[in-house]
Order: sequence, then C-alpha cells, then structure tokens
Amino acid sequence: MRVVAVPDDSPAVLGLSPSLARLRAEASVRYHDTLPGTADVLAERLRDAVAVVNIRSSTNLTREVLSHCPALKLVSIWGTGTDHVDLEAARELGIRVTNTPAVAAPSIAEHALALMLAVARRVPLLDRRVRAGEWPRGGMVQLQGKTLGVIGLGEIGRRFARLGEAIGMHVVTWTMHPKPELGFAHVALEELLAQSDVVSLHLRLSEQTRGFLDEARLRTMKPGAILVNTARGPLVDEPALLKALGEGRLAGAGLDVFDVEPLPVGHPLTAMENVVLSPHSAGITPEALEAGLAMAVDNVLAFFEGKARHVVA
Amino acid sequence: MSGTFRIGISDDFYTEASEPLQYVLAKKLAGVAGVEWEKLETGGGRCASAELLRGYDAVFALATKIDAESLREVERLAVVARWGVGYDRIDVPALTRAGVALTITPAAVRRPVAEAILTLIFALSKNLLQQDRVARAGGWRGDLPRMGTSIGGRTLGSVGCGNIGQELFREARSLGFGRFLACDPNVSQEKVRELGVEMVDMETLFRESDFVTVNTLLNERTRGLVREAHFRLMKPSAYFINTARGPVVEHEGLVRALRENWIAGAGIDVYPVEPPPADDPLFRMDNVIVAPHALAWTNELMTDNGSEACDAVLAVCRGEVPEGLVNPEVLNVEAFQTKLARRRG
Repeated sequence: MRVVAVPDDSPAVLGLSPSLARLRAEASVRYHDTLPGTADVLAERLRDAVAVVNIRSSTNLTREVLSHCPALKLVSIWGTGTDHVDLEAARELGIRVTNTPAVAAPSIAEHALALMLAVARRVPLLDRRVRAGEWPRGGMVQLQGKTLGVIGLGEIGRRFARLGEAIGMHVVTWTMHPKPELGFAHVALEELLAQSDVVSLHLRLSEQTRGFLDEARLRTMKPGAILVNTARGPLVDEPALLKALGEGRLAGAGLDVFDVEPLPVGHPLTAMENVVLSPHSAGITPEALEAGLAMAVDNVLAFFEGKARHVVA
Repeated sequence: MSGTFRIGISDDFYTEASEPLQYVLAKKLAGVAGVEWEKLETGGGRCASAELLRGYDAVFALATKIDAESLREVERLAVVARWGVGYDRIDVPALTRAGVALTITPAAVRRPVAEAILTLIFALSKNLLQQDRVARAGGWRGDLPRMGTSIGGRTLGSVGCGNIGQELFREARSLGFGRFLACDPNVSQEKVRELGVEMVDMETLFRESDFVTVNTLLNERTRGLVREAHFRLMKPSAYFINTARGPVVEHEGLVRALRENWIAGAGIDVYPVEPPPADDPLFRMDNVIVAPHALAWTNELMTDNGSEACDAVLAVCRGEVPEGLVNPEVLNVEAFQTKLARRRG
C-alpha cells in the first residue's frame, strides 16, 4: 500500500473526520496529531511517503525538506494558501501540489445573506435594546423587491446572487470578466452603485482591487444603502466607509473583514449601532471544514488514479 | 352612496405608526367623496368603548381591543379593519352578532414576516449575535464558543401552514434547505405538495426539524399549543423561532429548554405579555435573539397593511363585500346586510 503522511494534524481536524477513514482504506497512513516543530522532525515524518496531506500552514515545506523526501510525489494542502510550500522546488523535484479551493463558498454566501438580513432588520441593536428594557418600533428595511448589487461573480458572488434572488431581490452584477452564461443582469459599475439598495463585495484582493470601494465610489452609492463585505477589508477605504456610516449616507453595513484583523479594541466600528460585525469567520463552519478535508483526501485518491485535481504546481 | 362615511382610527396608530398612517390616508382616502376620518381616543390601544364606536361606519384597529361590551348598542359600525393578520384582541362572534365585518391584511403581511423569520434563522444558524459581541469586544474568532453552521440540507419546520407559513416555504425554496415539514389541521398534503412541504404530526415536526417556526393565529385552539414536552423532542442542535404570538407557546417550557440546553437557541419576537417584564429570563440568555414584536415592521408592511385595510373599508363604503373578511358568516346577519344596502343607496 502506498504511504501517505499526515504530519501536522494539531489541533486535530482530519483525525476527527470520516475522511481519514476513507484515506486509510486506500493507503497506509502515517498520522501525527502533533506539530512536527522542526524541519528534521518534519522530514522524518515524510520519509518514504508518496503523498502528504498538509493540514497546517505553519508546516513549512521548504526546498530542503522536499529534497529529503525522494519518494514524495504529491503535497495535498488542506486550504487555499500555498505560501508555506516552495512551489518552485516542488516543480523541479517533480512533486505535484494541490489545494482545496472554494469549499467555503456556500458558507460564505450564507453568511453574507445573514449579515444583509441582520443589518436590514437591525437585529443586534434590537436585541440589545429589548434586553435593556426598551420596546423600540419601526424602521425596518424590507429586502424583498429591493435591488441587490453583487460585485464579483466568482463561486461566492454567484451563490450570494442566487440567495438574493431567492428572497425576492432584484439582482444586478458587475464583474471584471462578465459571465453572461450565469444569467445575471450585468451593469456598469457606476450604475450598480447608484441603483443598489444593498452592495456586496466578492472580489479577490490584489493591487488592482485594493481600495476598490474608495471615497468617490462610496459617495455614488444610493443614499440609505447597505454595504456587505465578506471578501477582504482593504477592498474598501475604511475611513471613508466610517464617514459614510457616521453621516447616515449609508444605512448600515455587515462586515466580516477589516483593514486590520483582529479588529483593534475600541475601533470606531465597534461603537456603531448600524453595523453588524463578525470576526472574519464567514468561511469557518463545520460543513466547510469537512468539505475541505474531504477534498484534500479526494485530491490524493484522484492523484493515485492518475487524475490529479486542483493542481497549483 | 348615501351619507358621510366616517372612519375612526385607533389612537395607537398615531404613536406607533404615524408616518405610514399619514402616507396611506393621503394616498388612499384623501379626495374620496363622502369619506371622513378622525382619531379614536381609546387611551393608547386599550379596549374601545361603545360610546366611542357608535359614531363611526368603520374603524382601523392596530392593537385596540374590541369586546362584546364595546359593541353594546353600536348600530352604525359596519367594518373593523385590522392592519395586520392577528385578531386575538377582537371578539369575533360579538362582532358578527352586531353585524360588523372584520377584515385583516394577509397580502401585506406575508412577505415582511417571512423575511423576518429568515432573518432569525440565518442569524441563529451563523451565531451572528455572539459573533457581533465578540468582534465589538476586541475578541476574534478563536474566542467564539461556537462557529456558525451551514443551512445546506437542514430541515425547516412550521407549526401552521397558512398564509405566512406557505410564504416562508416559498422564499426558502432556493436557500438550500433539505426538507420542509409542517403541521396544520386546516391544510391538506395536496395543497402544499407543489411547495415541497411534507405535512406531518406535531411530534414529528419537533423531532425532525432543525428550525421550528411558529406561524399560527392565536385562538382558543392554539393558546399554549407548543408545550415543554415538544421542546423535549427537539434535537439539541435545533432552533425555535416565534414571530407569531407569545401565548401560542408555554413560556416556562421554552425557558427551561433554553436554560438546560435541550435546544441550541431561539429567536423570539413575541411574548406572553407585551412589552415583557424586565426580568423575563430570556433576556439573560446568550443563546437567544430577542426582538420587540417589530421584526416585520418594515415601512412596506405598514403602508401595504394600510392600503389593504383602506381597500376593505372603501369596499364596504360602496356597499360591497370586502376582501380579507375574517367572519364571512356576517354576510348572513340582517343588520350587516342592511348596512351594505344603505351604502349602495
């Protein structure tokens, strides 16, 4: 049986998942529920393994480590980040590297919907007030019949757009690479910002998109609109957003991501009543974690069958 | 049409919903010949007195109570038009005997309420309030006692499958739920098959649902309908949501279920008494979202309620049978027939 190493399942996730049993059925698994700590221990744990399922990004798969593993043919990363793997060395040594993209997309799209609804109905604020003995009335925003502007139509953006349609919103979209086959109305960015009652960001962060929603663009948003951001904090000019929220130009915001994370104690957002915040947790659900583990194992099994999937190097 | 048609507007509208009231009056009633309206001074949504009601052909009711005593020797009144769908504060048999129609606004209410229920479902599933509290307090995701969970494949249950229950399922259809369950003695399996709803008994619904929602009227059959024993049947991972009426649920049973973690949490917009007392145990619980019986009070809800109520009142003003009629048996009451005939003049 082929040897597969799991050198770093700490704290254990794969060890608690049914996916480990599926792997064990197809391979001889060297499983470790501690972190290797040093490059030497890591190399020892990978010795004679054909494939490695890499759980933690603290495990540095450097050129040195990889070159000490002559049998190694595949690094299957659980997650999307590849910074801790020397991809160039892997290529030169004939080692394939795979990852688990988009497994959190359903959870993130749902989280964006949860934020949008909670901002529209002021849920945390009402909850605080009722607990304080108040009985506030009125002022709820109804989303059904309103316009949802989705910026970016990757796996998450398109899922969120479908959720918006499901609750009766009129969806317009803007993306750098229009995808008419998805069937959404594609409009100019200016138009989307001007007519949307809710704007939701689903872009990748790059030098091109940093500060995408800047002060000028925030000013062109419909008065009383809601912003949802579950993508990356620096896509938005945060000081300009604070100003727009403070002045009431925007009715509210649902934010899972921020310029600086964790959100610093006493950050102005933490004192605002018209925002709903979450600690960059949209993609962290048990379902998303399990989907990722299942894909990391599937990537190994597919590789064994000569059909490598989700290859990054 | 004969004679001036006078509408009394219960005074709680002026404190609770003044803006939508003015909007609706201007849009629907201003300029209609022979129609007048004025504030009905009940003293803040209390029981309307017969002295007050005697002077009107129609009454707009928000939280105003109307009982048999309110209708003593009230002869002119032809219709009570409630803004909303609940009529637990109104004595319907007494109205019928007095030859007064009662109308409600089902079309206006169903979507805002369904959206409010979905708001609670998603907020509970994502543990959103704890997330918000942690993020505001300078903590981060490692400080969360529980991560959010996904909606995909979950079972949504509704106690009651009428106007609002069916709308909830309609909107939830493309949100990823795995299964829809409902119980309702008045709804056949055939009626809701197309929505993908399985009609089951109440025990099955509580046992198998991941989200149990309440979408019934409050009446003598539904008072105390959801009891402690039902919460005992629920999965420890399941949530309970009530946006209908507080007294449908045995409050002590709900408190116990939450306190002893029989269920994962609850979203509560309605209470046995409103406003609830400050020492309601729900207010000290982390696994509960509380709201002030206002989660569905969007601007659209109030204006649509008002438009629908005006349409009902104007129909009666023309001597026609109104939509949204709660007591169709009034059509056989001679006093009501006479009132309509007089309006047709």
